[in-house]
Amino acid sequence: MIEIINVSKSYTGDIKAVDNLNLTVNDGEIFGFLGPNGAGKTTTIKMITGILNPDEGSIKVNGFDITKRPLEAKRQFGFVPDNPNMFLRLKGIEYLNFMGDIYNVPSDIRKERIQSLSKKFGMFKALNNKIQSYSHGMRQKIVLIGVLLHDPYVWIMDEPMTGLDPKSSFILKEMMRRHADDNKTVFFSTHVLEVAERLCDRVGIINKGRLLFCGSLDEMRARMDKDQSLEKMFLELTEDEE
Amino acid sequence: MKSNLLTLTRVLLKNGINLGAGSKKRSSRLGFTAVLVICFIPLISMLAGFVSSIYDVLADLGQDGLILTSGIGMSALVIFVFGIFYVINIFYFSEDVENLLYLPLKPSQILGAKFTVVTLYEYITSGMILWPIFIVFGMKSGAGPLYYIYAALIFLLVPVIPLTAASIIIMVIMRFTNLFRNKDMFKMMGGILALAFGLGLNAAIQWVVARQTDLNQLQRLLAGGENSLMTITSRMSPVSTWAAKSLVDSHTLAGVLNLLLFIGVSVLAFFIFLYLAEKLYFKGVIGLSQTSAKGAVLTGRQLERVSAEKSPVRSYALKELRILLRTPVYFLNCILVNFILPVLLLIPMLSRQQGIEGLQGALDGYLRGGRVPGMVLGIIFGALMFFGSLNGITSTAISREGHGMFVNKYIPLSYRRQILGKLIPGVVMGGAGMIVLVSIATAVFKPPAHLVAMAIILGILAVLFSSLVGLLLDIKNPKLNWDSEQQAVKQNLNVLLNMVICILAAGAAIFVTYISNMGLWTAFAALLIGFIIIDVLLYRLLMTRGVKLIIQLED
Repeated sequence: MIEIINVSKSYTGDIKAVDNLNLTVNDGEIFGFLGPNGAGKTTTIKMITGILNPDEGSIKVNGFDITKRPLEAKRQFGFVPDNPNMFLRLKGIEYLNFMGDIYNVPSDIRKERIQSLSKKFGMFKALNNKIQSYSHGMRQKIVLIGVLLHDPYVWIMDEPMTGLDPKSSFILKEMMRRHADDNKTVFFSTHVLEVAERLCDRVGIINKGRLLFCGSLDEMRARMDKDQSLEKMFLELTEDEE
Repeated sequence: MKSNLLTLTRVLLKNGINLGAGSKKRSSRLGFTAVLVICFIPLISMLAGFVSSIYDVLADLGQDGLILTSGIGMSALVIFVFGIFYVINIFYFSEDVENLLYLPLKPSQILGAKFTVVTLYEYITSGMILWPIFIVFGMKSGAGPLYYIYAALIFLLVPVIPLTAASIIIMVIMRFTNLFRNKDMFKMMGGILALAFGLGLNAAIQWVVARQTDLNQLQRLLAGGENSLMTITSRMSPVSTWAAKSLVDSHTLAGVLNLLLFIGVSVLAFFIFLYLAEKLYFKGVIGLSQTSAKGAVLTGRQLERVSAEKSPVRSYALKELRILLRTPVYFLNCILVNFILPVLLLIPMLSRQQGIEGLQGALDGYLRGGRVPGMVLGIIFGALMFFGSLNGITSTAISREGHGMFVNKYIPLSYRRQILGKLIPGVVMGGAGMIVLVSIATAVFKPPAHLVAMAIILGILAVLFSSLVGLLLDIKNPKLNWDSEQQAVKQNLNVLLNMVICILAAGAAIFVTYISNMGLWTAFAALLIGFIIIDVLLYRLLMTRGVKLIIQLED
């Protein structure tokens, strides 16, 4: 569960990247976070994960405040950042073990998960190579495996599908569904509205740092009084703001 | 075509030099340039003095032109050696190559622009060799203004032929072989080779200078005819003879003709280069990769072995070390420097036998007298402190994270433990360098065992001090916004600042032990207790203020 209460953040001057945001992501749901470029999606995600400090408000992950009890909060989630270009000089296997050590994953569990996850995503044969030699999609996959390795309760993913091949994308979506069905939390941002439409239990639409809508697709249709695709409604919602 | 070439040259230059982005950047760049210039002043003045004394000898023999021939030949040789590295790095391995390949440009335009950029870089090195020679020669021979105009023209054109030669060699290698296909491997090997070259050059200069006073010997070397050093150099590049002749005879028609010949050949070389670039470049540059993916598939047992659970701090420190060892720029500037630089700086001293004997004599004298002054320990401590500050492992520890710094913020590892994970590689590597240094010194000076033990104990405190100060500096003001690893380490003022602070601390230690006229054991106790307190205080500062600063750090 993620609770965002009255959170604001501005980088320079008066322009608020995130403006008084209130949002709760419940256990057992896949929550899609949508918005145009520069709407404040990544800023929000960075505040949830402790990368940025909010100017105002508080954020809790599974009840732990990210600024007051950062370590406990950080143990609750696994984070897939939008840019997978990290630890390029490490081999895939070294990166996975680094993550395993940081999250205290016991050896036997770790070994089994590395094997099953990397085989599932078609990465096992590449584990002994440096991440630098990986393609964009492969880098995305190794980061993903590193996150799933410690079996976090809350999944936070910034554009997780970007660069994944169709099979891996399908597997990931299935895993997200199963994770939510286990009464755990999945929170991800995306630009691909078709994915959000099919996958999410609820969506939040953010623009210029403000939450325009939060709820299920049916609720959105009811509110807009139209039976339209998410894409049409999304464009309509964000256009008013221009 | 011409305008394309010029535009591209301008863009490449701006990109490479990073001018005008913020005053802070500019001031740090100025600082670096100043330090560089100061470092080279002794070398240049040494060269000028050498040329001046050699001129008198040669003028007696009526052979003064040899200075110019060999000077130009020498700079051509240096340009050629540097050129090999520049050409590989700038023509083939630079980051911009991928962005240039898809533009509607001819290979000759891309390489023409890059050739110009390299030529400009080469002027810095060739200028340091050529101008002292040109000016000293001009003053000694009382040359007229035409001489200096010719000299300027020759200075501008000297790099063309050796660079063309270097380019052709590399272009052929890249086109037809797999020798340098792996970027990281090449950078690593290239860096080590360059260092070896520098080491050799340093030793050679020391050797020459040490014998400079013996003019008779020099005369014999020069008058030795066919096999003399100078003739060999000029034979290696016959073109430099034309340039030299045009300078010697700058007031006659022969001078003009020789100059025209030199210009003509240089221009011809450039066109040959452009022609070959057209034929060779694209096929050589396409398909280069950063690293090759050649690791074998993991076996069950390997997986078992690598998946053993480690403590987070140990794993974090291991990650740091792996990145330090595998990234060529980091390896060369943080690890190798740690072990090579002490040797490099000791060469001048060791190359003079009387230097060692003098020091050893002084030490023996103290030992026989039964009272070694504490200042000896102050000096040892100061030296170890200085060498410990050279590596830059901790003073770039945060900067090296660059845009990946955010990862440290979301992993559930407390900042205190992360700081520890960054401190350990610096202390371990610095400590290893210190042990190497003490071992060499022990072998050379053969001091008594208790002095060696004291040196090692104080050395550990010195390494801790420089590591702690370095990390504090880099946490306070990290350089995170970079595109190439080079910028994180080489253009990082924290390294310099750390050195300055360590030099000051070393100076203070030497001063206190000297002024108080302490005995050996008193000095040992004073330094030991003093620096244990200082190190503990620094550590506590790192764990309180340092942690706060990291929390505040936002990209």
